[in-house]
Order: sequence, then structure tokens, then C-alpha cells
Amino acid sequence: MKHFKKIRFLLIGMVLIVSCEKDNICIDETTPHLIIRFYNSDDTSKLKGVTNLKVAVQNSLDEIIEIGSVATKDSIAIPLNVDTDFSKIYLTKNVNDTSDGIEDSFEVNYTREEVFVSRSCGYKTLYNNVSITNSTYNWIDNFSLLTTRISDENNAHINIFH
Amino acid sequence: MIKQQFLILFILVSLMSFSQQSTKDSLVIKDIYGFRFGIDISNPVRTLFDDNRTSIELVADYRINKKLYAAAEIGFLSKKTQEDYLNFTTNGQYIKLGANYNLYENWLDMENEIYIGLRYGYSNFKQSLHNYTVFSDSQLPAYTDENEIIFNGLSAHWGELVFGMKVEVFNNIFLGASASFKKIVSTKEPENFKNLFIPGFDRVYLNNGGFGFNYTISYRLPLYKKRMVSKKNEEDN
Repeated sequence: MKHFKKIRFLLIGMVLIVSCEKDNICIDETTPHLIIRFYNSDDTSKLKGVTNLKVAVQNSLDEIIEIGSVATKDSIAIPLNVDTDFSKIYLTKNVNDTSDGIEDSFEVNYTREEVFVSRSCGYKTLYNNVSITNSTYNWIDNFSLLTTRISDENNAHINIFH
Repeated sequence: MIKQQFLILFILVSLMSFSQQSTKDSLVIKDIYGFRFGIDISNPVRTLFDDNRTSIELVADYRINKKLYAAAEIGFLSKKTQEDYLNFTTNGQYIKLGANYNLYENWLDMENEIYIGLRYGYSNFKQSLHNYTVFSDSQLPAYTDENEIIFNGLSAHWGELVFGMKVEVFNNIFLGASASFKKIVSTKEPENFKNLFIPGFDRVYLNNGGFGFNYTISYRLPLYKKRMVSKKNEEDN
């Protein structure tokens, strides 16, 4: 009977412990954003923030979706389309109540690679053969593409000089 | 689910106490040795009520000596798993081989067991990934790939630590309940996917661990009897 009591305790304990385990929440690194850093075109080693920047991306349905606005920032992270092979990005600076600001746009082209992450996150998209096309130069002076593969968010992928 | 587990444990515990009271007044006590085979009850029940699951498991054990039983389970399973961003079906069969060690000191001719056991498990199976969705945390649309991908020829090896009990409810008819902790030793993983469910192992958790419950009904085919040496006699000698 002594043995029995011990084991019953063990069994009940086991049921309790086991029922607490969860891996249903996605906490792993998923699809990376496009990281852009802004530099001074007069002194290309110096970061230069963009004032009142509005960021928008054209989705696969040709709708222009506003991603966000920031007051002054020298680096931004932009989501790319995971259902098409390009994303047209609109960067508008000096946006305020009285002004629509100055808009520039460019297209990021890529091929998509879907990589398994985990049960809770499913798959993530990595972007290969990345290139920039159809860029406008209203306030932007130059683009510098730093990598042809966007697989994480550890480093900037594009430098913009202005 | 947890309530059910407790209920079944409680019923078995009650049966065990009950059967203890009905001890016969016999003087000659013999241990029965035999081959015991049966079926896991939870699998047919789940097959009936869970549209995403079809499974069956047969169990057997053979008494080697007073405390030790060689034990084996075989099973077949088809299980559809739906996650937030994944949808796949696992099909396959498995075998588990090992032994149970009875820790329970029976009263006279009682034949109950509370045991601890070890198993080696092997399964071969296939995974059919029906679709997956690339998670999008922005206002941009998500992407769902509907092309089914089938991964054939997968396999897994694992170990199990089992705790359980068996109660003789009628002559040679046993009810059993057990819980097991499992840990994968090695798997042949699909390319760009993972074995998230393995027949016989069930759901694979993050640390490659798992757990399971079994409820069995089995019949013992008695083969021979061994005279039991009671404790009192041992002390006298």
C-alpha cells in the first residue's frame, strides 16, 4: 500500500505537469522586414534622420497601404509583400497638417523562398535576388543595395542617401 | 480531458481496493503465468468522436518472472493536424517493445499490478502537408500555398518511460491505465518541414518530448502456474 500511494501521487502529478505545456504561441523569428537606413549624402558615413516620414507599400491588389509615420528616424523596417515578387514602396517626407510632403518611390524585386519555422509560426518568407528598380529622386539622392538576400533583420539591407 | 484521466484512475483504484477485499481463504497460492493480449480503448473512442483521427492499438505482454513482464504495442494511425498556419495529415504504423516491472505487492492470489516500464518505439510514416500560410504581421495580405506536398519514407525512434496499473476485474480479464513520457532519439525529418506528429508518439513538443495515456482491456491466456513462496515461509526458513 505504501508503494501504491507513492505511485498514485506520481501519476496525478504527471497529469498536472503535462497539461501545462504549451507551444502554441509564435515567438520565433518570422518573415524579415526590409531594413532601410538613412545617410547624409554630403557626408556618407553619417546617419541623417528623415523628418516627418510617411511610409506606404503597394500590396498585390494594387492598393497603397500606409505602414506608418515617424517624426524623425534614421532607420525603418518595412514589410514586403509575401504573395507577389515585388513591393512598391512610397517614402514621403515633411508630411504635416498643411503639407502632403515630398514623395519618392521605388520597387523592390525579389524571388521568394518559404522556409519552415515551427508549429506555431508555420513558414516564413526569405527574399532572394533582391534588386531596386523604378526609383524616383525628389528628395532622395541615391540608393545603395547592401545585399541581394533578405533573410534576417540584423543589418540594414538598403542605405538611402539624402 | 484531465477530468477523464482522474475519473479513470479513480475507477481503477477503487476496483483495486474492491478486489482486495474479496480474498479467498485458499491455502495453496499459485502465481499464474501467461500471455496477455488486448486493445487500447482510447483509440477507437477517439476515432469515433474525432473526425480528424483514425487509429487502433493492440497490446500484449508475457510474464517472465514474478515481477517482470515483456510488453509490446503495435498500432496504426491517420491523424489530421490543424494549426494556425499549417494543415497536415500523418499516416503510419508503429511498434513499441519493452518491459514492465511490477512494484505492487499483491495480497495472496490477487493479480493486480502497479508498474513502471520502459519502451523502445519505432514508427514509419508519411506526412501530407495540405497547405501552409506565410504569416504576415502587417496590413499586407498573407500568402497561402495550397499545393499539397507529400513526404514519404519518414521514420522515428524514441524511448518511453511508462507508469501504469492493471486490475483483474474478472477472471483473466484486466483493465489497465498508463501514462508515459516520451523522448525522440532520432528521426528522419522531411525537407523544409518537421515531424510535428508521429504515430505512436503523438504530438511532438518543442524539446522533442511527448506524453501519452493508454487505457486497455486485455485477456490473459493462462499457460502455467508457479507456486508462490509466501513471505512468512521465507522468514521461517
